Amino acid sequence: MIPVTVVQPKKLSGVWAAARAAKGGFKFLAGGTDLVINARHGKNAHRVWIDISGLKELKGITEGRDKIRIGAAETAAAVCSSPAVRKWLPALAQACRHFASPPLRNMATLGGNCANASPSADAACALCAEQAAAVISRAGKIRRVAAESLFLGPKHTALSPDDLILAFEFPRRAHRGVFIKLGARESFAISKVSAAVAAELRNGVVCSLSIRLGAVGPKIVRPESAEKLLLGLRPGAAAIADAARLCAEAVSPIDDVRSTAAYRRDMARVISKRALEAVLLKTS
Amino acid sequence: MTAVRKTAKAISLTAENGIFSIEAAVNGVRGSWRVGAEDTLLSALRANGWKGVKRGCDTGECGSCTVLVDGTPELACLKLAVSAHGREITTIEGLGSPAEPHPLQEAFVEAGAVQCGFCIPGMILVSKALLDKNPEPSETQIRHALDGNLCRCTGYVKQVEAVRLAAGKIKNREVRRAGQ
Ligand SMILES: Cc1cc2nc3c(=O)[nH]c(=O)nc-3n(C[C@@H](O)[C@@H](O)[C@H](O)COP(=O)(O)OP(=O)(O)OC[C@H]3O[C@@H](n4cnc5c(N)ncnc54)[C@H](O)[C@@H]3O)c2cc1C
Ligand code: FES
Ligand code: FES
Repeated sequence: MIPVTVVQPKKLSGVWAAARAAKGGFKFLAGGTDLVINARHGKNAHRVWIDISGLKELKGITEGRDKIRIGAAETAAAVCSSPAVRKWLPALAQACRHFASPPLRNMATLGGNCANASPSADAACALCAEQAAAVISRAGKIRRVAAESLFLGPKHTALSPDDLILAFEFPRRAHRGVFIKLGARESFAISKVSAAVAAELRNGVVCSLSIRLGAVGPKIVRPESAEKLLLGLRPGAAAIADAARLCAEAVSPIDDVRSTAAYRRDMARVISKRALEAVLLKTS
Repeated sequence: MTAVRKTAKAISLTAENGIFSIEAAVNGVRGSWRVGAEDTLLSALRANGWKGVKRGCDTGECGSCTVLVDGTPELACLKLAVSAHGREITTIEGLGSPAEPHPLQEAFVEAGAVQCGFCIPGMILVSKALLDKNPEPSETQIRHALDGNLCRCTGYVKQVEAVRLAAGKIKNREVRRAGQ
């Protein structure tokens, strides 16, 4: 571990001052659950860590008239216990509920989960299905981009080192959503495969659908052909089974310590099918 | 709980020769601490004599280093000691004493939930946080709260029983107090 200086700015403006002063690079520190482990392995060995976990500009979950906003430094625990998230962002609420372990959920933030860009990041997968926009600030200049566009590959994002995610914003829309993950155990296990689905139905007809699959490709996978197949349909079991097969065709999994490519591909089909059934066949 | 946070003055922590001075309360004792930039809260607590916090995996996987930070369970092995600045930390030593154990400590012993004991400080602290929020948890809620605490000795059943037993003890104690 080699951080030499940890700066805890009181305000957002202090972040930019600290960033300017940091010669030789810096890292933002949120919950530390990825950063501390990486630093222990000699990765990301920057001399300055700017602790953003206490900044109020990165906190808060608010329900506006047409948007839900979640501060990037909100933890998985805060997200899954928020009534607004449970009501408006069901897939995200479920992803955060099944994330790591309770003490880790009290530390791990949404911003960190995205910026770390693991293909198996549960919250990041659900954020994409829930159509999140990331609000990013660089030296005080703010821009909004689709959260999904940040992911370029394993642990590789479109963020520059001085891009700070302030918040995620979501359209406020009544919809159905689900997040299902398959790990070695029911809880406290990194996903071998995960699926997040968000859908709007009108009179039983699918009028919007996003499907995202985690841990089965270099980044979060969007099986567009499966989405297209179901859009405009009043889907039954057969259409869902077809869509689930298209999901399995869209993935490019690898063999690693957690699973094999073949098992992951087959499970991508099974988990997608279950997620689609839960969202599209549910009565009410 | 937040008293320390409000009064903590230093905000930009800069190390002198790699050493930071932070203010934190550990088990109710407020003080200034000198910690290294690379120290985790786990190593700093143990170096300062709080040996009840255990180092199991050192990578966030086992829960044996769990402490309460402002009343909420966090993993001391993944938290930098400097991040404890302004916070109130509770370790197992902060709960009770051998002469006057906390109801959870009593219940763990009575239920036979302790074998080697290595996982127990973490288990008791997450249970304390659970009971503080939810004095009458269901079995499922207890199991979920203990999800992140691995035990290599027991089968977890007795620990779930112990938390239920402790919930009853705390309730009875409160009823007795109210009757006095
Ligand atoms: C034992 C264990 C189990 C886990 N299980 C799961 C699991 O089941 N599912 C899952 O999805 N994840 C899991 N994780 C990983 C999860 O804890 C992290 O991905 C976490 O969400 C990262 O957030 P953090 O706040 O801890 O980030 P940090 O570690 O503080 O930071 C991570 C990276 O993000 C950057 N960063 C942080 N915040 C911002 C921001 N606002 N703007 C820009 N950059 C930022 C940092 O500079 C750093 O590069 C697990 C981790 C451990 C140790
Ligand atoms: S020592 Fe911290 S979780 Fe194992
Ligand atoms: S009692 Fe030995 S590890 Fe739990």
